[in-house]
Amino acid sequence: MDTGLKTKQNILIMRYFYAIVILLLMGFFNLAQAQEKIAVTGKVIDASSVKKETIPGVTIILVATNQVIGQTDNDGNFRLTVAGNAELKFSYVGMAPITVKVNNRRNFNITLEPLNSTLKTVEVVSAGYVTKTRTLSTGSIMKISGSEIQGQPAGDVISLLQGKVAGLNIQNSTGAPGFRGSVQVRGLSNINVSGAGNSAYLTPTSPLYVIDGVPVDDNSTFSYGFQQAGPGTSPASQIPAEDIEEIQVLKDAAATALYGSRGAYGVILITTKRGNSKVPVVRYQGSAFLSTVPQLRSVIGGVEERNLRLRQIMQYDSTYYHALGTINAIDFLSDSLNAYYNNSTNWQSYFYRPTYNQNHNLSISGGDVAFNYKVALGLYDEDGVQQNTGYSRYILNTTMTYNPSRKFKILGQLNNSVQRQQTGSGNGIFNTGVATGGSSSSLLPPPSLYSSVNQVQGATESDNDNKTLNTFAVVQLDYEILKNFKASTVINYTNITGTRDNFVPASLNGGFANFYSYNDRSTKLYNRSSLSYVYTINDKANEPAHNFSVFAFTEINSSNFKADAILNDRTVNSFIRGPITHNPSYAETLGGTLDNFTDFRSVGFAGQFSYNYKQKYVLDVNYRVDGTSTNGPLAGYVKNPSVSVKWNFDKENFLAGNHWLDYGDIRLSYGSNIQPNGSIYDVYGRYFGGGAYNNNQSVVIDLSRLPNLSLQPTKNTTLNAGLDFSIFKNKLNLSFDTYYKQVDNIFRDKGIANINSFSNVTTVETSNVNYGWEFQVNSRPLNPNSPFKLNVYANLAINKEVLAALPDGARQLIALDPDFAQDIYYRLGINSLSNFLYNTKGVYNSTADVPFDPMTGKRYSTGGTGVRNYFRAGDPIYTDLNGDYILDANDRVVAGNSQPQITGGIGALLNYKNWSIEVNGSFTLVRDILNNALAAQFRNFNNPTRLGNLVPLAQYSYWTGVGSNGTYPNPLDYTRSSIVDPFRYGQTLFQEDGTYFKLNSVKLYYTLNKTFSSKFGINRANVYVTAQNLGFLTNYSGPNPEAVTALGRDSSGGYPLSKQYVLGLNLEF
Amino acid sequence: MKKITYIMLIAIISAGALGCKKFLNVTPIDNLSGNNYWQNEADVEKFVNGIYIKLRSRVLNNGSTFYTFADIRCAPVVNSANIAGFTNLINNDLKGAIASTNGDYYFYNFKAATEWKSYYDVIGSANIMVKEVSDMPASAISDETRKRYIAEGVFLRNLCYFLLVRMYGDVPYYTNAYNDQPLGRTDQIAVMKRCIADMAAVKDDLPITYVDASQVGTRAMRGAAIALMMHMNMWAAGFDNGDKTAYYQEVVKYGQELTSYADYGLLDYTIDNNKKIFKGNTKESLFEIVSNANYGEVISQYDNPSIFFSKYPFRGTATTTTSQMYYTVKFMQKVFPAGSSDLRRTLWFENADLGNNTFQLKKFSNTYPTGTNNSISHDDSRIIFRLPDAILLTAEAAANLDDNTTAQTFVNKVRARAQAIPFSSTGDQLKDDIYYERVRELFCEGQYFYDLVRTKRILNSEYSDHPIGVADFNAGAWTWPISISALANNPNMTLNNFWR
Repeated sequence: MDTGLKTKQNILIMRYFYAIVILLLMGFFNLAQAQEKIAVTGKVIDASSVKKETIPGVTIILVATNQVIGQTDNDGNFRLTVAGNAELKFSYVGMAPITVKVNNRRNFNITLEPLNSTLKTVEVVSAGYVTKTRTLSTGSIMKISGSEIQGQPAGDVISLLQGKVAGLNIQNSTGAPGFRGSVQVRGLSNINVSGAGNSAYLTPTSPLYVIDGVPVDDNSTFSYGFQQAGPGTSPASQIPAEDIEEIQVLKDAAATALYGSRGAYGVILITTKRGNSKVPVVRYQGSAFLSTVPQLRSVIGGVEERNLRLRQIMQYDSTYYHALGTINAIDFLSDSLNAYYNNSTNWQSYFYRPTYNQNHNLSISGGDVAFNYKVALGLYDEDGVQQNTGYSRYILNTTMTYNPSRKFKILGQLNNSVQRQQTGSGNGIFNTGVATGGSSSSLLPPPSLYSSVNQVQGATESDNDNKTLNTFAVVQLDYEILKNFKASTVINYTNITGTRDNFVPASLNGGFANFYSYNDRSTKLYNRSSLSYVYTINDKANEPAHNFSVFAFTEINSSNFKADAILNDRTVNSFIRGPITHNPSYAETLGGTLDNFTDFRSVGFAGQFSYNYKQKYVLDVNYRVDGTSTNGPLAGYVKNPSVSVKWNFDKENFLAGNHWLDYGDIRLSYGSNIQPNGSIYDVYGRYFGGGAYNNNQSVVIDLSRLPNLSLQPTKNTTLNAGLDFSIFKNKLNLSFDTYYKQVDNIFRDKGIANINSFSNVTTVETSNVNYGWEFQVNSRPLNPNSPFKLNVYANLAINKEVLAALPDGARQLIALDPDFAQDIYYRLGINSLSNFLYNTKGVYNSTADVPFDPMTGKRYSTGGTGVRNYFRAGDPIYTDLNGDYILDANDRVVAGNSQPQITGGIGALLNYKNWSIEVNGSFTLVRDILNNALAAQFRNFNNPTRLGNLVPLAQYSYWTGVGSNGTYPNPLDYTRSSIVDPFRYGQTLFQEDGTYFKLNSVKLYYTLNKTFSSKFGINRANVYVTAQNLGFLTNYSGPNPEAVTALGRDSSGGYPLSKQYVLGLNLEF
Repeated sequence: MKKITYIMLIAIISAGALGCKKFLNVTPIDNLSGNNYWQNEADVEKFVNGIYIKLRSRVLNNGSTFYTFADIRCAPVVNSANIAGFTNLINNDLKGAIASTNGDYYFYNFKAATEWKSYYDVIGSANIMVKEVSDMPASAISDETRKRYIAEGVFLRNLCYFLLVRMYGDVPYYTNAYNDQPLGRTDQIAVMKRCIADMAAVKDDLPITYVDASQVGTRAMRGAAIALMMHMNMWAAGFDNGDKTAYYQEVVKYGQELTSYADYGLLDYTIDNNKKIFKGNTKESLFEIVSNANYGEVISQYDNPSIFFSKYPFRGTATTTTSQMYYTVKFMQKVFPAGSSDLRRTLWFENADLGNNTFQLKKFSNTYPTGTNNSISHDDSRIIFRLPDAILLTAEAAANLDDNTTAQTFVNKVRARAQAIPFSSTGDQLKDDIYYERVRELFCEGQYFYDLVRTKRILNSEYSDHPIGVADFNAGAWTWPISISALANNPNMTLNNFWR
């Protein structure tokens, strides 16, 4: 430990020391005045609530000493031991304080009136690991209540937040059941791309999930099945929406400060429901839903396909006789009577089907303040619309709280889930088998016992079962050592076991069945021990004026991951699947521990100091010091400070007594967070056995990565300014935030000169900056007394991203895409992920339009150093950037940004008596998509002698001859494909605007009359109908502008998002 | 109460603070990581063995550059079996050799010779070893052992710099561990000077010899370090246009030191001793690379010069009746004249000067049969430095200093062992005699071409059948081309322009 930290702790200790001394003195004073004491219990009720809702967290002050002696619990109950003649003051934010005399009463209820009768609820926001009221929270935080996301089936609950939080960009890029799309808080945080072509993907930067106070990092290996061999379900997805009390999205550094060691990508807090009723409550929430097959691509079938191919060859082949020769040489073109080639098969229809699915949740909760419990059972079963895919989840979550005295509280939680995922022949994200299978020629016979197209069999017959067993246990102990001085400790153990069984039948694998068996285990042990202290100094009027709170904790995290796999390349036959068979192919049969083993440890020390003056001026200071096992020894501990201030201007005197402002505040914050990078090997190097020399054992160092002893974690520094206000009795609430977010030390592999022996070094020299504006508006425009209740919300986030630094001070880098030549251009000062493409300006209407070199008189041409191919009518017009009349790789332009720049959503909820209807939608504006699916369709015309399906061309405007103006070059002239390649992937012709508005869901609820339902012993019952993923408003020509990769590539192999129709029932007994 | 609280706070915080350094030190189970390595001598020993493996794989595995490329380049050799690329190599047409079908072939890989990374693998690992061993706590390693390992690391990196300079001329030079800088090339004389200083500083930390016979010659010894410094001095003298006296004086000084050690000496040439010498671990061994079929450590057969100059029963199967290459009659008659007494001629050759493919080299005679058809494989350790090499360098340096007596004394040690007539010549004649004595003694030991270059005899058709012109020589025709892979991620790099 460095000495700097120790000094700080000493200061902390001294502060505690003085506080303790003061408290002790006050305690004696209190004792002297005490008379005979009685136990008093009661309840605090919100007068403004029709349902007589209770208020938790009401401060109870002993008037005689002006000392806080307690507060109400979650149900608004209090229990105190006071003198029989004591006078108690109940106060709560936004409520008029009330003073009562005990007069030896043992039990009484208190009703608090709101200060401003329209401010009905006071939001309690959790900032960090401490709970604060909305008034005192200084961070940029958005809260979503659990009820807002219920009534929609989802394998992953986070996807339901789409369009609900400004600055939280969720793209449901895949419809595969149980998989999640991309989740980004405030723009791009990592610019690294791996893979090529359609499978190029962006390094994910999911926010940190904090589930009931326990951080769960979603960026670990197990979360991304497509990246690593593994089942790939997110730990956050084991929580059903029905079990969620609320979700909070923490966006700026002030809010996420305390989660420093992994909070660089934002933090999402998930709080699950707790038991809180004396009478046990049984809730059942169930739904059945129908997933429908999305619009499939239209293809040309049967004789029309053959005729089109014949037309292509007859019209465009070099000579008439060569055309005849070509046709006669190809059996499926010339032999139209051959039964094998005389079909009209719709291959896509063999992959997709509508499915009926179900979702059931049952919870039992009960207990009182001293002891309460909740048990939740859940079942979710969804079959994918694509054959052989699906996701099912079984959960059993239990919670217990034991609170025998005000000083001591113990909370236990145990969540279990079993998840099963089937991904067919794809990996869930990409379904290349389906893509190639579905694009087979319609001339081939449909599958029966025999299948002419292997991929169809592959998608329907190969097994890919992924099972995840997830256990999540938490124990929390709270103890109040002294008055207002609390100690708390949380211990969490998480164990996730994943298995994957992938079986490929012999017919798909060259006559040998192939069996891959994988299992992994990840464990995490987490402990946080904290001390908190609250202190208040009253002013002359004896009102609390100066409020201090100090919170300090240590955090320890240890996580492990290990995966083993065995590949049995040649099993005996397609029926014996175990790997326990004689194996003739020992060379291809592999097994062992995979190289993605990780063992990660971190410790953190954090402190928070909060001060407010009459809740008017709020100051928060956080300081966090983190050490991780992957920090280089030269990098040391990382220190993350944050400072934030808030001015609640509604509490100023000049605004006192106004009737239009409900609340208003201005927030400013600055702070930083980190995210650990790399592994222990990146820091210290990997050593392994290297054979024998002179009959002695040796060890060598892995030369692929140079140890980087000064490896730093990624650091996110955010500046945020915010304004919140609510006016005209809640008719309009508005939050506005503007931010500047700088992500430094982005982890990147950098090639180094070969004289250094090592081929790469991991550097943290890359930086980018996001800045933007976020608006969140909520309105209840109708009169509160109206039987109609309408709530309308809208949010909008504008994010601008700029690349700020590259390794070695480079000003630009190009990430090559060897498959599709859709390179990515990194240049400082512009958005990081620009496409680098040929610029297509249209189609040459006639050959005379092709420019010619005035020096040589030769037409604009392409080709290598040898043969020149001159452009002519019907060819695409590519910009000749360097003006040399030769098209080559130097003529590409930086075009487009694959990242969404404006995202948001709107929604409305209308209540009328027993009915309510909710509609919500989300949108993404200013985003460029590369329509690779369309390019692939045009490319199918490139070779009429190869079997593959063809799309009808009528809907596309293409060049058909001199005088015709087409957007696309002539696809029928296949002879141009090999020389000019008019349908190359890397051109702006296929870059389209991906702006869309999506209607996410429409929900209609009907609550049964209580008098009716109580006849059946049901406390509350409602039924609902939901339709989700209803459709898009977009100019994009592809099927779905959302189901594209994070890099904006729309591949035909993507899993379609289906429309779903839900019929649901909620019962409470 | 306050005291208890105080104590509790102290306890919690200090427990966290003290425990965390240990807690954060992760020990992975799948491989060793650097933070848990370098704990004891055994770790160092294993790592050093790993460096030797890298050296062996560079010097002697496929891409046979160490011996054959040096022995055949510009040599009076006839490629009678017409192995692709080798006629180009003999004519110093390296571009042609690389373009030939063997250019990228697994066994004779001319292209691989243009890649220098594997030398830097040895240098990089040696630098890491030197740094990490220096940083080990005194409790983990004794001071004497630490010094020995550091000296061993220094020897290995300097050996590689020497081999690099001989092949490519100017090369990037660094000695810091974990280097990631894109360095440009340093002038070869400067590299040699820095290497000599680097080696001289720690030379005496190396043992003169080892008690364990299997380590004699195969692990860095003081003799090896001295031989390396002598070679580096001679190379620098060959290229330094200034006063060369200092270099030669150094060489003579080291030559005298080397011959003063009782642990080094020349064995008599007999059939048995010849086998022993080239198997290694003898008094004559200064530095060699282990090859041992009994250990399962077999070096590529394609590196051994006998691959070209031998036939059954020294190479191939019973049907291998001819050699693939032979030396010209003129050369063999000059170097090993039939009349004069020299044990080496009878011991090492069959049909020495017939000028056809019945020529047989028997120098590397440790063989063993393998496979179903009893194919003959070689099991000689590969000699890098041998005592007579160092003795002849001393003679050469002394002759250049016009110290004829010393020169004669040293060269005649080698001649006496071969039972050849001692030299009594002086001046230029003596220098030529010493040169030819090196050709003779170190025949097919990977010195021929470098001696020609070092002494500039390559410019003279009297010494070489395939001389290089002065202009070409100055432009770098004696070097190997450097692969363009060296330019990747290195803006400071330049290649050998002669070959571009």
